[in-house]
Amino acid sequence: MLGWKKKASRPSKDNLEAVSDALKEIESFFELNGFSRSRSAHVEPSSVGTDEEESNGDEEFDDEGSERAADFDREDLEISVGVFISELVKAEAIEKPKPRRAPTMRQIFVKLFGKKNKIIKMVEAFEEHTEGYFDAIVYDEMSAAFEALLEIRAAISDELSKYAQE
Amino acid sequence: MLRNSQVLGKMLEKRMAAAGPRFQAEVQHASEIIIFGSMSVGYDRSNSDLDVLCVAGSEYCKFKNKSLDLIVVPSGITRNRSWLESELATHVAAYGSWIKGAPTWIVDPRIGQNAIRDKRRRVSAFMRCLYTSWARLEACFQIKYATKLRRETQRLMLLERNVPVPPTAVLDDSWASPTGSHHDVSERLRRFSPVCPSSFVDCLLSRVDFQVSDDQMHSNSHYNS
Repeated sequence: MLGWKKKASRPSKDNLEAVSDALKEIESFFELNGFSRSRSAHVEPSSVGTDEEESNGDEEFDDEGSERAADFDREDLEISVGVFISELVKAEAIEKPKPRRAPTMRQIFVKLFGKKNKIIKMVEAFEEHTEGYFDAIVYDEMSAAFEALLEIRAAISDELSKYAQE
Repeated sequence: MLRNSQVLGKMLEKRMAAAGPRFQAEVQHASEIIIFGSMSVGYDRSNSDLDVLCVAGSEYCKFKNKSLDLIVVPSGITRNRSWLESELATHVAAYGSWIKGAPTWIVDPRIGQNAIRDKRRRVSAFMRCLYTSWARLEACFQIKYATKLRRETQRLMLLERNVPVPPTAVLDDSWASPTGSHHDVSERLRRFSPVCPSSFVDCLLSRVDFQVSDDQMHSNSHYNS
């Protein structure tokens, strides 16, 4: 079981700031892959898998399915999530996980925000879209995951602004 | 040895309840339902999910929860050469148990160059990315990703030898066995990324061994029970 510094339905300002900072790790992964915070400036998917296809003239096969939008490696994104959580440990927002129990992003947010917080649905959507298909994520799923990430960012900003008003 | 398809069918029936009406309909109307992965070969652990491939309809879709990993592929896919030569298709051809339909598309399963090239690129990219972030990762993530990288390298080496990739549990067992492929994998990883120092690969592999000793402990207790 993981141990946690704080179990809160409303996270502390310090923890919110830590999450806000650490979230940049995941955002930068998306930015490196051409996704932008301005929602209209998404990268256009390119076509892969067609220029180097082997041609053997075998008529029994149909190669239509080989033309597809660019895929993204799931591992790279997964590592950015790992860094995100590691940064939260460093900031002491959460306790150090046990070596054999790498927590998920959802587990982290549930502990920090509580199960019923609206942000949990956003995190679940993010994880669902980044589940991938054989460790690759298609463009549409990446795009949807980025939308979910923007919503998470907005929700954290809202929470922080509530503290500013108090 | 493959598991009895009736037993697998019952397992699927139980786990489908959580998948919701859309996926239940896909499964109901599928021309083929195939169980693959560790469950199919009886190599599962207490927390293993059930891997299912459905050939149905005209779209790809996927459902995943803790106990079920369901992939639906369109019916026409079994005539698509790049799919037939993919890691998934060749794995299913070798280790799948058909609980509906017949394996008519398995004529001459062979691993395509695209599958090998994709895997090589992925292992290389993953290693580079891991190297960049390594020092910033908590131990639990170092172990998790190092294990993943080791498995991916094992898979690549099999694909290059035109051998279908076995279930993950089989890979782990072969790694943990005294005749395991430690040397080959570590040499391969060193060759992959010349920019990464040897000390990084050593550190990476030490994390993998840490995980393997844990897995052995769990699998031993599972088999003994």
